[in-house]
Amino acid sequence: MKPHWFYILLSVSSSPRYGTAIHDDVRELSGGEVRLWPATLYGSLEELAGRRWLEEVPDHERPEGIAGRERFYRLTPAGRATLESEVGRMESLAGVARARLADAGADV
Amino acid sequence: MYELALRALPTELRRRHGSAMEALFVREFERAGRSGPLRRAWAGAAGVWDVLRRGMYERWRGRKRSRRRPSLERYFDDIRHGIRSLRRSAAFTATAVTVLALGIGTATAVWVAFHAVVLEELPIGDPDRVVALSVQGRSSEALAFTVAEIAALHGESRTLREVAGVAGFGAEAIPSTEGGRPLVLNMSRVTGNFFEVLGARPVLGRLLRPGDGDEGAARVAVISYRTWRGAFGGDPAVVGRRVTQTRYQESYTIVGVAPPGLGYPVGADYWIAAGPRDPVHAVARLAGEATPETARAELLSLARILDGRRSESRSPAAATVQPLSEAALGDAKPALVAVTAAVGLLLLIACVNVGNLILMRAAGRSPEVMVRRALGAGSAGVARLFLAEGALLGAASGGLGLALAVGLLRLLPTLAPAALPRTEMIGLSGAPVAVALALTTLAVLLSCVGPALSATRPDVASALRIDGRSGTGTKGRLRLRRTLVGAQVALAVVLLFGAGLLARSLERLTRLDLGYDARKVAIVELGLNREGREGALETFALLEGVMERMRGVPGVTAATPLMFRPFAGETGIFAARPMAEGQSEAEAASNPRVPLEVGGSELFRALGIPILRGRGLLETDLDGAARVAIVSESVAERLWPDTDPIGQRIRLVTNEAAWWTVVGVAGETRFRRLREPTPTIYLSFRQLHILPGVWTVAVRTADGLAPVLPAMSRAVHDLDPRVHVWRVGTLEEHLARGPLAQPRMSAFLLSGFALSALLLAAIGLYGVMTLTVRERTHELGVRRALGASANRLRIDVLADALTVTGAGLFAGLGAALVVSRLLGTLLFGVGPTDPVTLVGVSATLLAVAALAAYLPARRTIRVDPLRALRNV
Repeated sequence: MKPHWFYILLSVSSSPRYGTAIHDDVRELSGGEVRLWPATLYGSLEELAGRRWLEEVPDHERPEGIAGRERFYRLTPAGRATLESEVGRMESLAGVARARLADAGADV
Repeated sequence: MYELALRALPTELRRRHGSAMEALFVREFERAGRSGPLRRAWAGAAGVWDVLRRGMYERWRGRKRSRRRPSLERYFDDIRHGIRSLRRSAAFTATAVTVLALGIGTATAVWVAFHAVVLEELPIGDPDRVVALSVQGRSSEALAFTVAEIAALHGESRTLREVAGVAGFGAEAIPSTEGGRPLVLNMSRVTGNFFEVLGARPVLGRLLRPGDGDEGAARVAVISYRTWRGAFGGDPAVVGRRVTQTRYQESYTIVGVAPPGLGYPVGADYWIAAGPRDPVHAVARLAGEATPETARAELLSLARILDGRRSESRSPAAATVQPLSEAALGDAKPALVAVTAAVGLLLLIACVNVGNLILMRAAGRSPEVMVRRALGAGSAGVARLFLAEGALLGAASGGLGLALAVGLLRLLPTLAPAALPRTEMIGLSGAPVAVALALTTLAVLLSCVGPALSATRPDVASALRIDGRSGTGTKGRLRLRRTLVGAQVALAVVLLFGAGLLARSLERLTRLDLGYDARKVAIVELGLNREGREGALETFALLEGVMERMRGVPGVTAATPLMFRPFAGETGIFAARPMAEGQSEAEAASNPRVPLEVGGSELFRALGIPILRGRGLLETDLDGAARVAIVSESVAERLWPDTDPIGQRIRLVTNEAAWWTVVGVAGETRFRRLREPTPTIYLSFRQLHILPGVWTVAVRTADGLAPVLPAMSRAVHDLDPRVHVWRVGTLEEHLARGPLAQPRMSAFLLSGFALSALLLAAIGLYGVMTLTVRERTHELGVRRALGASANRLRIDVLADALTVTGAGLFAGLGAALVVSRLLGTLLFGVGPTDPVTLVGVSATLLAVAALAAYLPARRTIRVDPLRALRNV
């Protein structure tokens, strides 16, 4: 999975968020490493919505107290499944790598 | 601008998210703007690049989705045709590819270097909040803090969250060895919390920590990434190796490697913990809401309070607070900005030049285009042919440019002046494929697309007139070509003007009256292993012995010890505030601080500094004899404006008991700084007991350094094996490598770029004039037949060329006068609107333009009126 997809999915996994909030959240999640410039961010949101991994929150379900024009996105069950399998994959990869490095006697 | 860029995106995406994207971009752009105009420009470029990239991606995706397979064969056809047509006009292709590749190659290399050195963030936590602070006295001399005062500063400040100290003399070259091999490494002393305040992480091992500077703590050092890769060959087991400083045989165990790009203080090769008495400047992390401005105000008031607790007041008068990212660049930034801007201009000129070539070639292909259109090719079909050619040109020149850039970048670290900070970052930036690709795309867009579009709209009426009497170019296209040439001229003028100003500054700098005779003077730096040597007096006697031996070497005419090597930066200036006899303490407090120099009896002869009145130093000015001083002219004028300075007495420190009697007045010199003379008080090294880490000796020779060096090294070593010649160089080399290095480099680079620009502009003008003359053959023939003299016609053509040039020159000078202000501190002795440069640039340009236009103009007289008329 593309890293910025991963971060976007991760960002909306806890609660629905809108574009700018996702941008800030991803920047924080990644320790400042991942910076989603606008076209990449919104383009990816559309792309992920197209894959049905996240969906736009309909107006009547918007989080309370927010009345702006922002489009909120949330994770779909399919998106959550994808995200979880990706995390699992990363975990097993990290495990394998760590074991191999330990075998080689390297300083981890 | 961004709004315009958004058009690159598919309509649907833009409709749904356009305003949100713009809002986010504006917010990010403004945030970046707060850390300086460069970051703002960077954010702007990144934002636009993001949109363009995404636009391409979305379109590719859209096409894939709609399963409308583009006919690949058609693309191949276009490319095949493009290759054939480019091969047919090999001269055009070679010129265009060369010009573009040179432009792309240099621009890529310089941009990558600029990005790595200037824009790449420091490898520290939240770099925008870390600042370097310093306090200056009334004559803007730097005032250092003690380590204890740094702690007090931390305790009492509200604007600074954490404060560390960096030794006030910056990074200092110290003779040292490692496992028997000699090293030249710049050492910097910092307080133990330095790296913690920065929030830096080591590449290997650990960094310094509080406690490393404590009495009795193990001596440890952290080496810079550059040193690790260079002097230690990137040894992964470098931790634990030891660097030994020759002078006291002190060994420091390497405990870690700092991250790349942490070049602070500028030039630091390794860092050790500062002792409690080291004079330091502050580096701090700003607290919550504090800004550099509030920190500056507070620093000055705190410095005044701390000053009040000192035994001798130094009256702080000003404070500076600078983001560390700027401080780490030293004074290299203006030159880097100028060179990068110049390369950008050069690329632009190259694009315009190639655009012009394409236009001219298109003019000759009008019939081909007409035939294609007549055979049913649409506008788009014809445009595709030109675009395919553009893409091929781009691919070829981009590839060549990339190779050139890689080569240049590999050369750069060896070519760059030693003072250029953070060069290790250049090697780490990887192959500049993305930059080369972006610049190539830009170049192709600029140079090929416009002409291609214009060429696909040939004027049907004129082209159908097969006699071609009215020429091959329509008025509109001719005007476009002239505009392009004018633009080239204008851009070349901007470059020429900038280069001219820098060249004039360099000339002024090299022609300065130094106040001494730098020819045939060698600066010899001696390393001394002082382990086991007692007492200062004995050491000075040893130094006197060394002098004696050096003078004995045939070919040496004079030798004297010095305080430091010349042009060692502010580091090499050791100053005191003198008090003249008869002055009250209050009066003395308003005296300026004056740099001190020490020397032996041959000081003035060795350097060739004139003694204007009285005498120089004598062999009898020994410890125990009456203390004497020689002052430079400006010091004499400042302290004794109305009386004879000879015989007056001064104290070097207000409350010191010793009086120094002025016995001579010397001329002003530029020995410490080049841009202005340094007022100086000269003292005998046998009377002012200062022990610099390195003994520096100035030696005047009869026939240069090389013939005397072996004998000198031997003589010194024979006297005492613990003394060795550490570094040698002529005084002229010190000048060239020190204060002249950066001006020479930037003047050299900019002149090279400006000459290339001038050449390109001349070629462009030549091409357009040749074409114009060819197109006007008919008209000229008619006029000739009607009795116009050949001269008249020639003048007409020349006037035509000079109109284009003049318009370009005018526009260029306007832009140059604005842009030259940016050169600011790079200039010396010339203003940014220097009339001499202005006239010189104009004259050069007009002369070159006249020459470029003269050759085509000469052809007009060869026009045979009969042929011209018959040629239907």
